[in-house]
Amino acid sequence: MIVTKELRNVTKMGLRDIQYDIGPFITLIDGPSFSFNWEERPKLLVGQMRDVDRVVIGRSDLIDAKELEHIRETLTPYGIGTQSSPPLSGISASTKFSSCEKNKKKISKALNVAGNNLLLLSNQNSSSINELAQQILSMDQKI
Amino acid sequence: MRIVSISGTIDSGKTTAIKELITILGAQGKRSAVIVNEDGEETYDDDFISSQQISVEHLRGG
Repeated sequence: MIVTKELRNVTKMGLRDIQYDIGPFITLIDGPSFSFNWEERPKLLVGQMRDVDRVVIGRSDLIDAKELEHIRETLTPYGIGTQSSPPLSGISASTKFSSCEKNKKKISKALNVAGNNLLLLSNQNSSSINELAQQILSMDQKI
Repeated sequence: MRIVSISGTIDSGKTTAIKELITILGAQGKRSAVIVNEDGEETYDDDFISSQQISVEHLRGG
């Protein structure tokens, strides 16, 4: 692990033992420009979506049903938006920084929250962002 | 402390989504801080930072 300037500042403050939970990992994709980006930079989009917990299609109110279906069909082979969506997951970890700036990570447990891994986000409908927030909050309740 | 990672291409709506999440989570009593690796059209303005009582740190070289 690379100890950055920000982490050095934290250790100087005396916060040598830090406990934190990591996750979820969320990727946002712009809906209206999806087809263009998929044609121009497919590897970039696949790399951004690989192993994330949720993929969010933004500005979904600006795309029609046909384009939305095209997005779904494109992402399905990568396990996005499928029926058997993986649970929202995270890890709980604690990191101790020694005087030699070495660290030891201990993964204590995995947290799982069920939910759809493809969400549509738009200015007209905030239900998806609310759903995402509630999923994050429910992860904390499982600790 | 929970670390949530939100990524995406430029102008994909990351800042907008993060601000919405901060607002919703703040209403539930959760405090937030943001580490920014990219500056786009949408920003974390001073009014939002003070009203939500959040900290925003920008990484160099993002």
